[in-house]
Parts: sequence; C-alpha cells; structure tokens
Amino acid sequence: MNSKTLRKVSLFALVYFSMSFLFAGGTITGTVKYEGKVPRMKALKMAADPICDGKHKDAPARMEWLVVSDSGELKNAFVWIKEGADNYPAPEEHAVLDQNGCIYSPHVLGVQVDQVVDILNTDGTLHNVHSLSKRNPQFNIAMPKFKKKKEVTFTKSEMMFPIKCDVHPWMKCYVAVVNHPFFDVTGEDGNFKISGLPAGTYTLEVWHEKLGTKTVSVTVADGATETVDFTLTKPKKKK
Amino acid sequence: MDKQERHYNIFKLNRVFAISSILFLLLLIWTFADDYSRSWRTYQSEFREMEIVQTDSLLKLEEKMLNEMSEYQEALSLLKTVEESLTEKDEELERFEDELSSLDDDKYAASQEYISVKAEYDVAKYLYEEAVAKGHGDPEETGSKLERLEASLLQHRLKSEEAEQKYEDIEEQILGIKADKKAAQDQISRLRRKAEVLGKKLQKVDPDEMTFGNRLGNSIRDLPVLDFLAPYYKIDQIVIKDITEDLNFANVPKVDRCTTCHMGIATPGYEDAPQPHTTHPDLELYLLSESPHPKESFGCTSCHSGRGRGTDFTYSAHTPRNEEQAKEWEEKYGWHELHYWDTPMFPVQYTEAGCFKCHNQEIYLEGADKLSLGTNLIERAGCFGCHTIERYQDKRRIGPDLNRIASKVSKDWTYLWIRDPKAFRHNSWMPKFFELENNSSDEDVARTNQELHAIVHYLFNNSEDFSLNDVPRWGDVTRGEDLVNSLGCLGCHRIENEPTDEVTSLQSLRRDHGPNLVGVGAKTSREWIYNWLKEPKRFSPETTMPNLRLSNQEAADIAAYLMTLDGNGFKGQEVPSQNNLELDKIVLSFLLQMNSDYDSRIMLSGMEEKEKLDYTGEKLIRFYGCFGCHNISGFEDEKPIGIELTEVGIKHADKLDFGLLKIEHTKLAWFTQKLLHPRSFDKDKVKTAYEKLRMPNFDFDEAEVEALSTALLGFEKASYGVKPARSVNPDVHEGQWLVREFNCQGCHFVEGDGGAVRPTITDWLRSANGIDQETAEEVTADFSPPDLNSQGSKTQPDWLFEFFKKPFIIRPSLKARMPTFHFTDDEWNSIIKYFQFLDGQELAYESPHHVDITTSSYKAGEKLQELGECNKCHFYGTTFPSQTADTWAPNLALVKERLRPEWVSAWLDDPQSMMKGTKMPAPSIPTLEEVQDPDVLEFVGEDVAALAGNRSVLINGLTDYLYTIPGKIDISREVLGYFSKNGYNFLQPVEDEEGDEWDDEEW
Repeated sequence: MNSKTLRKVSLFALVYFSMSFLFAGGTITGTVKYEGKVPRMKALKMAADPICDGKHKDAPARMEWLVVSDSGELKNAFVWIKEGADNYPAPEEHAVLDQNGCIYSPHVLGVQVDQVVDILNTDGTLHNVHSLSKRNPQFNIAMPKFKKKKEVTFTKSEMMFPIKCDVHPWMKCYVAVVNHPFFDVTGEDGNFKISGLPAGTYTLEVWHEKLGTKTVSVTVADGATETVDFTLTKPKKKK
Repeated sequence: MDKQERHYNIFKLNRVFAISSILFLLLLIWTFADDYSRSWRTYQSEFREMEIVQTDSLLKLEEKMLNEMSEYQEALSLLKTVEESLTEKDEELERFEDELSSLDDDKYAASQEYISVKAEYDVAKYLYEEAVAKGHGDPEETGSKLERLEASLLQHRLKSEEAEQKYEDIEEQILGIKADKKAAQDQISRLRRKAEVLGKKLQKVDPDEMTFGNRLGNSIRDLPVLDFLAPYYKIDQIVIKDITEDLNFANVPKVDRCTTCHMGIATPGYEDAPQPHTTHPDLELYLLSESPHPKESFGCTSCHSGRGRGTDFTYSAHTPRNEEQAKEWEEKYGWHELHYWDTPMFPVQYTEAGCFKCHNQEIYLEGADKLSLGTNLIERAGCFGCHTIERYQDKRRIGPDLNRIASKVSKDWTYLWIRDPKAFRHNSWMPKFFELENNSSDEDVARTNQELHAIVHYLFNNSEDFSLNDVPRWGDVTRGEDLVNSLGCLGCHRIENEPTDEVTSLQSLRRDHGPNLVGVGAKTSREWIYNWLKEPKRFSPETTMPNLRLSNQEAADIAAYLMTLDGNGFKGQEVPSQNNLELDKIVLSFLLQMNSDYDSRIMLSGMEEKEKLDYTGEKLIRFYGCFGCHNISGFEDEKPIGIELTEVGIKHADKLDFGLLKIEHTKLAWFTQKLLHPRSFDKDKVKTAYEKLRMPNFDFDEAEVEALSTALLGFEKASYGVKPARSVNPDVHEGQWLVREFNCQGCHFVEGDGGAVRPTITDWLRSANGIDQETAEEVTADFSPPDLNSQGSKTQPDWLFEFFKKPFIIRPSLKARMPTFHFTDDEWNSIIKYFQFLDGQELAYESPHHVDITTSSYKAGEKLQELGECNKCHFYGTTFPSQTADTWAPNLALVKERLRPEWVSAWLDDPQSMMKGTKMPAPSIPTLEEVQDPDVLEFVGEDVAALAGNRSVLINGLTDYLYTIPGKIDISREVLGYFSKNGYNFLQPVEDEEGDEWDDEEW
C-alpha cells in the first residue's frame, strides 16, 4: 500500500472512529472490588538514592501491588475487551509514563499498538527503563538527569509485561499493548468506563497483578450503557 | 502341382511362423507396456495435476494482487494515456520520421562530400610536401592550392556536423514522444514479472493453456515407444560428483533418482500434500541452492541412505518406521525389505543419524537434537567404557575412582550398592548387573550373592590408604544448605528424593553430570565429604569435580548439610552371609576355563579362603568389566570387554545375534531390544554362568533408546560412500570437548545453550530472600553465572588465561562461584581458542589499548560517565558503588585488564542485543537536537555538546575513559568482607512494619 492510500485509509478510519464516538457505540462501565483481608502495603526503602528518598520526606512511599479503598474498591485493575474488537489505528495522542519520586505513574498503563509513549524523568536522577516484554523487543535505556523525555512505541499487541528500573529495584509497573482503544484502568474508586464500542458481543476481561484475571461476555447495543461489576479475591495458592 | 520332396510341411511351418510371430508381437507389446507402466509415471502425473492447480491459484492470486495494487493500476492507466496521446501525436511523429529520413540523406551527402574534399586535401598536402622537400614541382602553386582546399575542408566539415546534429535532434524528439510509453511498459512488465513466470509455467504444464501445436505435441510426446524423444514424464536424476558410491567394486559418482517421484520435495507449497509429493520439512537447511545443503551437491541418499538409483518404492530401499507401517506398505506397494542392499534408508524417526556421515567429528551439532541427545547419553552412561568407539577414544572413565574406596564407604554399603544401585538412589547412572532376565533364578541368585562378596573383597583389599583430615570446625546445616543452593553446585548435581517426570534432554543431562546427592549422608562420612570438597583431585585425580576454593568453615557447613541427606538408604536390606560352598563353585568355574578338571580340583583344595576371594574377585571384575567405568588398581591397562561400536551403524542384521527371541529381524529392533532388555537374547538358551550375556541394565526409557539408536546408526565408516568427514579445527574440537566433558554449560551459556543451574538459582532467590516467583525469575539472570556468548570477542585472551588459573570475583553480587579446574595450559588454550573461534576472533595477542587523555572525545567520555552515574552500580577499584548491593555491577578498574575495546564500544552501543535481559542500560548519548536545549547543554557541558550527534565518537570516548579508571583490580576481599558483615539477603527492598503483611507463602 502506498502512503497516499494509507493516508486515505487512516483518515477514513479516523473519521469513522470519531463519528462512532459521536453518534453510535455502546458503553460498558462498572466497578472492580476486592473481597478479603487487605494486607498493609509495605513502605519502600529508598535510602539507596537520596534524590528518591528526599521526595518522600513526609510519608514514605508504599508498595502498590494491592491498593484497595476502605469500601473495597480496587485500584490499578486493567479492564479491556479481550475478544470481539477489531484493530484500530494508533491515536495521535501520546501516552505518558512518568518517573516521579522514583515511582512509576501510572502503576498500570494501557497503550495502543504503535501509540507513542512518552517516558518522562521528572526526578532528575538517573533512571533506566527496562522493558521485560516477550513479544515486543526488549529495551533497557538509561535516562540520566538531563534526559527528560524518551519516546517509545510498541509494535505488537502484548498483554501485560513489567517495566522496571534496575537502578531502583523497587520500581516496577505494568504495561498492556492493545490493538484497539477499548480499555481502562481503575482509579481509587475502582471505576472503569469503556465507551464508543460498536454494537456487538464482546469478551470483557479484568486483570490485576496479584489477583489474576476474570472474564465475562457482554453484549452492547448502540447508544446503550451496560454495567459490569467485578469482584476479585485472593487466588488460591498454586501448587 | 508336384508334391515337392521336403523334410517339412510348409503349411504346418507357416502356421508355426504365424502363431509365433503373433506371440512375439504380443510379447513385444507386453514388453513396451510393462516398461511403460511404472509407478513413478503415475506420481508424476498426479503431481502435474497438483502443480496445475497450485500454479493456477498462485497466478490468480498474483493477478488479484496486481489488480488491487495501486502502483500497477497507475502504470496501466499511464500507459493508456500515453498511448492515447501518441495517437494524437501520430501526425507529428510521421512528420518527424519523414524529416528524419530526408535528413538521413542530407547527412549522408554532406559526409560524402566532406570525405571527397578530404581526399583532395590529402593529395594536395602530399604534393606540397614533395615540392618543398624534394623539389618535385612548384612549392608556391601547390602551397596555395593546399590553403584553398583547407578552407573548403573546414566548410564541408561544419556542414556535415550540422547535418548530423539536425538528425540527432529530430531523433531525440521522436524518442521523447515514445519514451513515456516505454517507461510505462517497463514498469508494467517489472510488476508483472512474477505473474509472467507463473503464466509461462502454467502454459508448460497445463494442456488447457497450451497453443494448439504444443497441445498436440503434449498429447503424443508421452505415448509408449514415442516417449524416447522428448517426454514430459521422465526419470529425474541428480548426479553428485563429489560423493561416490561403491557399485560392484567401482567408485562411481552418486546418482539419486528420488526426485523422480518426490517432485515437490524442494518446492514450497506442498507441505500438506500426500507422499510422495510433500515438501521437505526444512528447506532452510536442505535442498534449496541457497541452503547449506543444496540438493545439487548432496542429493538425498547422502543423508537418508537408501538406494538412490531406485525408481520404484521397494527398490529404492525405503524402510518403514515400525511393523505396522511395514504391513501397510506390503499391502499398498507390495513392499519387501531389500535384503542385499547394505544401506537401507533410515526409518524416519532415526533420520538424524545421517548427519554423522559428514559431521561425525563435531561435538555439538545444532539442530540435530535427537542425535545430540544420543551422543550425550552415550557419554553420560559411559558406553565407551566397555565398547570401543573411535569418537571417544582415550576418554576418562566416567565412574568414580575406586582406588581409595575404603576411606569413603563401608563394605556392606558397597555390596548392596553393586547389587542394586537404584534401590539406593532412584536416578543413579550406575547400571544394574544382577537379578536381571538371565540371572534371576534361585541358583543364579545364590551364585551372584557370593560373586558380590568376592568383588567387594577385591575392591577393599586393594584400596590404598587415604588420610582423612579432621573437620576443623563445627558445620552449620542451614548455612551449608544455602551454600549448596547458591554456589552453583546444582548446575551439575541434583538433590531429588523422588523421581520426577522431567523428560531427558541435553539440559536435564547437564544436571545429571554429578550424582544426585540424595543419600550421600547414609553412604559416607562427614570427614570424607569435607576432605573431598576441599580437594577433589586428592581422592580422585581424574575427577571432573572442580575445586570451589571453599574456606574450612564453608566446607564444614556443606558437609554438615550433606550429612542430613540420608535418604531411605538400603533400609531393611541385609548383606547375605558368605557361603563357602558357592564360592568354591565359582572358583572352580574360573579354574576350569584354563585348566583340566583334575588340576582345577587340586588347585581349589590348596586355596585359602582369602585366596579364593582374591582370585574370584579379580576374575569377576574382569568378567563384568567394572574397570570400564572405574579406576581399579590392577586393571589400569585392561582392554574394554564389549564389542567395538565404531561402525555399528552399517552392521547388517544378519550379523546380530537374535538368539531365540521372536522379534522383528531388523537392526533397529535389535538395538531397541538390547538397550531396553540387555540380557533378553539369552532367553531359552542353555548357557553356563560365564557364557551369559553381561551387558547391564541402564533403565533407559523409550525416548532415550530412540536417541541412542539414532547415534548408533550414525556410527559408520567415514569412507562409506560419502565425502571425507567435515574437518574441524583440532583446537576448537578439543576446547568444545572440554566444555562438554566438564559440563561448563551446567552453569554458563555457550553457543546459545546451557545455564542449567538457573532454575535452581530462582528457587534459591525465592527461598533465601523471601521474594515471589515472578520477581525471582526477573532477577535470576543477575544472580546466575554469566552468559559466555560473545566471550571470545569480549575478553583479552591473556587475561582470560590468568583468570582461569586463578579466578576472582567479577560480579560482586553473584554468589555463584567460578571454581578452579586444574587444566593444563594446553587445555586452557584450547578453550580460549574455541571461544575466539565462535566469535571469529583470531588474534591471540593484541596491542594494549592506548588512550590519549587530551582529546576532546576522552573528555566527553569522562563527562558521559559522570552523567550516566556509572558509579551508582559499578565499583571503581575499591570505591564501592553509591547504591546498595542489589544493583552492584563489575569493577570498572578491571576493564583495561579484562576487556577488548572493540567489544566495550559495541557493548555500550547496545547492551541488550549482546546479552538479552541484561541489567546494564544503554547509555544515553546526547543527540544534536538534544543539546540545542540550553538546560541540557548546561548539564552535558561543552566537550559533549561539541561532539553531539557523533554517536560513535562519543561512545569511543566513553570506552577510552573506562580504560583509564585507576584502582585495585581484584576486589574479592572487599566484596566478601562487605557480605560477611552485612549478610547476603539484600533483595528485600522493604522495611518490615507491624508485621501486617500478606504472607507470600500463603499464595
């Protein structure tokens, strides 16, 4: 395909895509909850790097592998259409992964295939960004204090791989590369919202780094909103 | 009519003639018909049908693609436009062409005129010269004529050139008009190339696509009798000049006609077609001209064996994979075994045996997994201890040294162990000799119970003294366990109480290199283990167990831990008491082999009990061939007891003793039976005790037997009809062998394979540091022995040599320890040359890397090092990294001694591509664009900014800087000092607070 037709196709897709947002498409929304004993997240020991330590003078940063509100809403759960959605071209908008206070923000990041991800170094200390992807080529790049931004893209869809920093071993986040825009990460309130879905039946999955996955089949009609709530529990010990 | 007097009746004779000529005619027809009806013809016509379908669909696909291809459509429409505009320009073109032809005339006339004037001029010039020089004529007159002619000549020349120019101009205009058309046509034919090729092919194979003439030809070219001319269906053969075969005692080039039926073998697209049309499963490695084994140079039977000249299923010596397939073939093709063909095709599951026809010198054969597994099993089981195999000549004995056995184990334990090793340790490699198929009767057991007494007596009676040093310290079991799990012991040893369902592979065999340590506490003493660990070669000079340079405390700790591994031992088993009557019978059987009955009895009656035990012990060790695997005093130069296997691959089934066993009479059936049930060929045979088969049972499973058989099948004479064996560099061969023999891949990756210890490091990280499996897996590589890929181009050979002789800590956070191997200088050199060979590195000596510290690139390098904060993780001599131990990396003061600058620069450029998963990030080298930002500029400074954008210069500057970092090279003491003070479990990056965490163990 030459560039002209490519442009035409992507323009068409873009128009189609934005139209679908405006006029058609259903929405899936809901809340992810956790049921069970809530462990206390341990404090991160950042003494290794004074710059990191200095950013958490008032209260120590804590681990983020299970963040649950008082009423049980689960943060950092990734909800996405696992099956049923077509391929969509990458949006112009960049995704952002910040290294601030020697913690990755967000802790769980969803991006689209070929979408540009800005990796920021707000800390002004040496970080390195080491992707442990399986399908996408791995990279491990240093970001010294002068390097404020590094742009990367992932060319293949890949569900959840960690990115970590070898200089600050506690730093770890998860990235999902999806070939469509229908995903969301839950916030403090455990809510997610996936909108603009063409009418149809989909497999919706929720993923959490410690609690595993759950799937459900959802049928969406144009203009309608489906509500799906998930409740995750501590998985049984694998043997 | 007079009746002629004849001896025969003409009418009768005519009748005989008539009948016989009809018969002969029929015979002739039959001959032709028989010759014509060959199975390959059917296959070829089947394939032709498939080819037509495939080519047609490919062509359609191609046309469809062209139709959808905008470039092609554009070219087509361009051509159309151009052609239309050409019609418009027809008149113009015509005019131009007319003009051109008239100009051509003008041009010709002008040039002719010029030529004739030139001739006149030349005459005048001659005359003038004659007049001036020799006085023949008037110089003035001739001179003026020459001048006149010269002017005229110039005029004519100008005229001629003008005409020529005019002509060319017009010609160019015409070409200009036509050029667009030509360009469009060229573009179209370029895009259609593939389609054209397919179309031509289709025209050749598909009668429907043929011209009438060809179609007619096609219908008659393959008719019987006429098909000698130019048939479509014909025998296809590959003649390979370099590979000869023995044809009735003459060495002639190999001829393979396999492609006559296997027509699709080298064409992609017939992967799912039925045999014989199927595509070869690995065209990357075989058949195609760009592969390493093109069919033109190797043919088919060079690897697969079989009868290449055969054009019929049976006569090409196909071999079925099993009896079931044999039956199927008999029914389908009337197949039978070609009894007189020495090299039938390898059954498909043993195909890799063919690799050895050329690659029999190689230690590691990438891709030939089954064959490699076979050779590795042979090495691990030590088959060459009893069976001479040229490939393994002069190899060390694989079992433990028994010369000092009395200091290690007890007599009772030894007795029970020899009787049934697996009763003590489920996965021992020591095979079982007793109570097998041919020696399990009461009588046999009564005898073998006494044989064992004699063997044990001999071993202990001949055991040398071995002084065991006292263990100087009290060992700590927990510390010992931690050491065993982290030092790298588990790269060669397992500690597995129960059998696992692990499938045997090269990797699993690496962890089988040393014995499973289960039960070691029930077998020997703490003192022995301590002494062994401190200096393995003192007890066993030929052992492959290296010296781990353990401190007294470490050795004591490990000994204490290993003593806790007492397994179930031989619980409840007792050593039967000695029975002199039985012993006498054994002595007598051996005496009778050399002496008369009378003499034997006299000799027996004159023997003391000890003498009897000495005598039978020695005889029995010789009979069972124990010295094949163990060093036993008195048997140092003994010849192996088994049959030689160097050429067992070409042994004919007729030469194998099937006994009275009713199994399939093929070589492979025999191999399988022998390896699974080594004594079973004695079934129903009447034999005395010492005539019986004595190959022990190794308890191989079926997959192992298949791999072993593949290797055995591959053992054949190098001259057997194939090229001389592929030569290998002797140093590289030796190095490769040492890496294999001493199991370097138990810990390291070499040639992309190995690192068997890694899963155990993951387990250790998890249990010792209390981290979860996922995290442990992520950091396993950081705490495992290094990957040695690229080692040959990485390290300076002289440094590597010194390091091998005296290893020290390179990776500070690594607990696994490079042991000391007591190799000779020659051996170390071979290993280094092998590593260099793998990376195409040829020089043993190189000039040291000189660094000019005044250059701007050096200064930039220094700045980059500062910006990159290398000191966060790396040691600078004895200066510790600024961060904690979990991110520690090698000492940079070591770079100048250890690494090659080319490698360092390549490494800095892209560490991930050299060592996947490395913790080392790619340094951030500022680009021109980045330094435009004043903030960045302030950080990076002038030296870097001046070179920004010149990546390789900056990287080389950084390399240069690394070569000037001063400081201590060997920081082992500082690192060990740190760990002994601060402990080793630093991976947990969290503070324990209030103890309210979710216990990871609960997952």
